Amino acid sequence: MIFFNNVTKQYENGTVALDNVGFFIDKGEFVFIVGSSGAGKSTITKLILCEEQPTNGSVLINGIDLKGLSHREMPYYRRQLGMVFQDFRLLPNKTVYENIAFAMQVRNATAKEIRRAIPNVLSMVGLSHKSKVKPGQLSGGEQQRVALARAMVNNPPVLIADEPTGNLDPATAFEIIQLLEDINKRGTTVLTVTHACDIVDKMKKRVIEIDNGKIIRDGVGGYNI
Amino acid sequence: MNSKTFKFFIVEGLKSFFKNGLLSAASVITVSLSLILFGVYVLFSMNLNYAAMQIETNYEIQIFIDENADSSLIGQIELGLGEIENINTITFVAKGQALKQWIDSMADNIEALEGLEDDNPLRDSFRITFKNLQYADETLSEIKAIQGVSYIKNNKDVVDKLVDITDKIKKSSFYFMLFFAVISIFIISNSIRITVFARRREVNIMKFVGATDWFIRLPFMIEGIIIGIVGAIISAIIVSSAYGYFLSTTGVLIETTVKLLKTGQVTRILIAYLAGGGIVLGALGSSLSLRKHLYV
Repeated sequence: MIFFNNVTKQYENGTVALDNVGFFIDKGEFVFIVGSSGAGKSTITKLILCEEQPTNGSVLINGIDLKGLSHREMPYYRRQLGMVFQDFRLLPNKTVYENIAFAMQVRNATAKEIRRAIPNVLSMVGLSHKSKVKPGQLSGGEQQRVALARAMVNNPPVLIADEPTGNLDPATAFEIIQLLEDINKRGTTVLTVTHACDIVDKMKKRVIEIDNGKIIRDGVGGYNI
Repeated sequence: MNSKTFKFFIVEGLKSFFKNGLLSAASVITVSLSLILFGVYVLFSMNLNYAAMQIETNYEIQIFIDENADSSLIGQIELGLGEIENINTITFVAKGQALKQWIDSMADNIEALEGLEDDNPLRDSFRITFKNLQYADETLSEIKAIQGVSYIKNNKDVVDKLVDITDKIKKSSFYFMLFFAVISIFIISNSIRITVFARRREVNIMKFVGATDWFIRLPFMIEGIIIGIVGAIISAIIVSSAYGYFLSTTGVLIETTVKLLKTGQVTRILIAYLAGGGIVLGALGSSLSLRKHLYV
């Protein structure tokens, strides 16, 4: 499903962000990528999103080699991914409903499909009563729930969460992680990049730890176990 | 693309136009100013072409026929002239008619012309005008080759100068138009660039949820086109009103020297040029300013 085959990424300024990194994440897995700041975690999400290309090695998602992807094919590839970011990335001028609908409109979904899908996904994240509210009127946790609903509305096979709890208090952060676990239980592969030790410790999922661009641990357990 | 998606783009473009009220107004003003300059150029160019056309169609040369030519030869000369492609009009002037016109024009010194009716020194002639002055030399050579043509009264220097001037005016008009088109694209693309910059986050989000380049580009292009159309309407009103005012205040003075096109003759063309210019420049300007943000 997600395959990093001996990937090295060196930026133009000479920094080696990833050094011969290899891992495989199977369909339906829940995986944490952990490490300190500058360890190379964000480069992994950038490579998956095709924002960057590997210097050496290859990245395969659902059997697609991202190196061979043209600019024209990129949007269609990205539709297979759900994305959640630390800063939520919601459109401030659109309501919760419109923010989620927007992710469907870009894929040419019909009005009927949109009307059918959004109540389900809003109910999943517990925000059915806030569909007409704009993001600025929501708490951080609620905004992240909207972002999750937007990421999941098209039923992507893979969900990438890049520091999804970075801007949230511990209790809210845990709620979001539990939502991610619920999504994973429905069959979606979830890859969460984080440095929230307490959450990783509680979840007891597979953890890939990166340090100085290299994988130093890949196994089930807590942040420092 | 289905009609609902297209409606979505139109609505998004309109929403954005009204939502970014101040920015849209600033863009419309800039576009209007640029189109006003373009409109002035269009009017200037149309009037120059009109003046050049007047010079071309009114320029006349006189072809004199051999003294001994009979009516059959005159007929053959007329046929020969008719076959020349670049000749626009042919008027036969009989020597009797020419003398009468001369006498009429010399009414104050009629005594000097007494007795000429009995011994007319003038010749039969043809007055012709050209379709295109640029080919006057070739046409004159063709005329000279016709049997029975005695000589041609032609101020060749004047013709050459006229050809040269109209040619230069047409060429410089073209470069002038190109210059304004480039300036307009630059101004509009900068106006839209401000809108795109203000909404770069939105563009970024669009890319991550899987929007194609066209899905992102179209609302901005429609917004650019709306800006272009509103700018075109404003500039068309200003330019045509100013032109009407110019004609009404200076018309009598100018009519004695050069004939200018009437407001009614230019309005439709001016609106078409400005609307077309606004739409093309708005669409071009917006897509140029988006290019950088699409490669995420």
